[in-house]
Order: sequence, then structure tokens, then C-alpha cells
Amino acid sequence: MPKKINENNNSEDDIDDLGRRIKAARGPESTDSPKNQAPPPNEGVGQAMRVGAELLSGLIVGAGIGWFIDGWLETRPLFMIVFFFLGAGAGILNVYRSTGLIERNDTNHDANNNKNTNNPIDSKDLPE
Amino acid sequence: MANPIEQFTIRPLVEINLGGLDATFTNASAFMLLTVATVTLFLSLSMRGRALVPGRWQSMAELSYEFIAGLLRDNVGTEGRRFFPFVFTLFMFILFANMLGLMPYGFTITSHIIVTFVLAIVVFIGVTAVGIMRHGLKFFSYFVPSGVPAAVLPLMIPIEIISYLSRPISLSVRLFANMTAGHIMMKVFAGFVIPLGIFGGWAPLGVDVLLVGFEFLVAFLQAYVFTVLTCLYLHDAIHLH
Repeated sequence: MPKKINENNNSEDDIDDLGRRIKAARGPESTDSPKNQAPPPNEGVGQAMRVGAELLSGLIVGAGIGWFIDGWLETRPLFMIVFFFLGAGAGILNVYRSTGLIERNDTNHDANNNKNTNNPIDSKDLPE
Repeated sequence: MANPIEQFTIRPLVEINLGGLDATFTNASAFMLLTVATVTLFLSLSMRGRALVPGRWQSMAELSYEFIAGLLRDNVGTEGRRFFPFVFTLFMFILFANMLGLMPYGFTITSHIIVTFVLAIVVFIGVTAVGIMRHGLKFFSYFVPSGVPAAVLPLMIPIEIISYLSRPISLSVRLFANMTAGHIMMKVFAGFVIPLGIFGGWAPLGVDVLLVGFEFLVAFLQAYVFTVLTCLYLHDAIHLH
């Protein structure tokens, strides 16, 4: 009887040990996900392209909205000028977000800790 | 010297007219069909063996599956699994379209902004619909930045909305610009090879060899970037912020 228990313990130890060894072997590999990899060469060109697209897209959408409103209300240059600057702001915001210089929100999505304390806008419930 | 942008010309192959609507089958349509066919063949043929220990082809198919599954898990979370078929299709289509464009005599469909724009607008409308379906009207609180004084909100909300609306533009322009610029660059250097003669022509040829390798990287990277951004937008729509 005691021998059997011993055997059982042994095999469990073996399994634990195996699990530990598998984990150790996998450890360095699992940190090698695409996120943590070193940036590929020519990353500068890619980043320039990305930032350019972000900046340009904000401007295009802004000026486009202004142009449509102008055509609709027949106030030709007014709204295009206003929305051009708003679009420029949106483009710069895009660039800041895409380069990670500012986050969308300081709150983590799974920890809404300061949602009701220092976030007056978020706590104001919109009608459902 | 060869015209560097001649490679992007759309040529009609079969003229089709659907009640006044020009639905001509062009070389772009042909390469879209070829892309879909190649992806389908690649995945179904390589998974035909269904071996427990995968061979080379099955490894590649499983690798692409796990790559996208991991991307969704990391960027969207567990709710993202529902969107796996769409995101995987999107990634494989763009990747294979970019790669087929690098083959000799290939046509790069992603070098046409209307193609990338349609892909981006599908993502944009889909993601917005997911957000509205999940959160109802509360979805629009997404445009109200938090931690901003009430006085600048009238300025910030339009900027946020424009920033949101500019997503499909930046998504499509990024893919289009990368593919077009790369192909033009290769063509320009290739155009110097013959005019520079037997002695001078080797330098641009060498540059072109390097560029081909670089373009394969860009082809994969841009498919990856498009997919990652789709995942991030999905995450925003599901979690709001």
C-alpha cells in the first residue's frame, strides 16, 4: 500500500517536473511574439509613411467635410477653412496616437478605476 | 526608358455591360480572383493531410492561423475570437495580393487606392456596426475624450469625430502608398539598367535585387499593419476606449 502511494507521488512529481521543464523551454520563445521583436530594418521609412498617411487623412476628411457643408449651405470658403483646421488638428491627434506619444485614455479598459472619480465626462450617462 | 507607372494600367480583358453599368472583367479583377483562388488552394491543399505532426505546407497553414489567432487574442481579447474568420480572410487576401503583385508579370491590386479603400471602408463600417450593436447610443461617448475641461469640448468633439472618420482614409492610403511607391521605385531602378550599358548597368540591377527583398518585407508588413489596425479598431469598438 505505502509503496503504491509513493509511486503515485513519484509520477506526479515527474509530471510537475516535466511541466516545469516544458515551461522553461518555452519561456524565451513565448516572449518572442511579434510585438516584442526588434523593429525590422528600414523602420524609419515605414514610420515616415505611417505618420504621413495619418496626418494627410485627417486633413482630407476635414477639408472634405467642410467642402460638402459649403456646397450644401452655399457658404463657399467659410466651413472649408474651419474644417481644414479641425482636420489638421485631427491629423496631428492621429499622429500622436499612432506613435504612442499619448494614449487614448489614461484608464485601462479592464480596470475602470477612475471612471467615476476624476472622469466627469464619462460618468455623465448618455441616454440609452 | 520604360514608363514607371505603366505597370498600374488597368486593361479590360472581357467587356461586360450590365444594363449601362460597366462591369468589365479587367486584369485587376483577374488578379483578385487569382488571389482568392491561391489562398483557397494554399489552405485547403496544405491542410488535406491533417497530420498530427504537420509537414512543411501544413506548418505554413497552421502558422498563419496561429499568427492571426494570436494577434486577435493579444489586441482584442477573448471576444475577438468571433471575428477571426473576417480578420483571417482580410489578412490572407491582402498578403497574397501583395505577394502576387511581386511575381513577374504580376499586377498589384493593392496599388489601386479604390481597392484598398473598399477594404478599409468595409472594416470601418463593420467595426462601427459592432460598436453600436454592443453599446447602443453609449457608443457615441467614444467621441468625448475623458479628462478634458468642458470649455474645450466643443473643439475636441469635432476633432475626435474627424479623427475617427479619417481611419478608413489612413488605413487605405498607407497600404496603397507603400505598394505603389515600392513598385515605382523598383521600376525606376530597373529602367536604368539597360541605358547605363554593360558597365554601369550593374549598379541599378544590384539595387533592384535589394529592393525586391525589401518589397517582400513591405508586402508582409503592410498586410500585418492593416490587420493589426483592424484588431485595434475592433478592440476600441468592443471595449470603448
